[in-house]
Amino acid sequence: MLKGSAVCLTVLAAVGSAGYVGGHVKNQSAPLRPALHPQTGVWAPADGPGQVNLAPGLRSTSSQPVTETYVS
Amino acid sequence: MSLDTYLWILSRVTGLTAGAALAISLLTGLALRSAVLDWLATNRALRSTHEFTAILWIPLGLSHMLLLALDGSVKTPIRLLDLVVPFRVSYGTFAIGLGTLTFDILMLVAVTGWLRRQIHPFAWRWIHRLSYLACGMVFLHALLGGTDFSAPQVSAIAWSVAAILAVLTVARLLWGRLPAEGRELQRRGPPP
Repeated sequence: MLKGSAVCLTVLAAVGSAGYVGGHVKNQSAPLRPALHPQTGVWAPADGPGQVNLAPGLRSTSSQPVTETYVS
Repeated sequence: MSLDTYLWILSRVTGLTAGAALAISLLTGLALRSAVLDWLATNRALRSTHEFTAILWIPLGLSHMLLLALDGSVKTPIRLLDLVVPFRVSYGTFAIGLGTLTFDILMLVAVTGWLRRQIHPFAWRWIHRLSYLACGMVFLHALLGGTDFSAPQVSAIAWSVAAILAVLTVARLLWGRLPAEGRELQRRGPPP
């Protein structure tokens, strides 16, 4: 009875953890941030030719807008 | 989903679950020496459950460590030796080292528990008491290095369980073990 309860609680913890972790694969506030291989992560800085540093960013363009907001 | 991501998820799940299994182990161990679960079961059943929990937390803890070692996405991965010798990993040295040291201590406690008949009672008792220290260290390991510990859903449960276990541990230290007669009377209830 007690052993069964211990197993049930452990399974419950496993299912709950799997549910939470599966829904939160990346955690930006995680305390440990080891350097990752560039092809698998975004935390490693580019440190040589042929390596890609993935980072968010916007670039402006010099092309004219293609839509108008009025009709005449 | 890539293999590394899958391993990463599994290592976090096994870490959290190993923590839960360890909490059950500590609770049943504390209950053996106090009267907190006397309303639920006899000391014999509690002892049996306490010993049984080792087959829950040991595989989970081992899996947690091995899965982290298999993670190929990290530039400086955890090596096999790092799973046994603490404070060798180049990142999160203290947080990860605490986890390694905890596992070493708990394995010592478990093995000496299985060999109890061959060990002097005094030595066995003091080795077994190291598990209190180990449980405090594993909580610190989770606090400093746990990826999910900052999440309120996880930390609320973890802090609550830790607080309950801490109160029971302090009660055990202050008042020790209830005498057998008192526990028997408590189980039977007040006289008519």
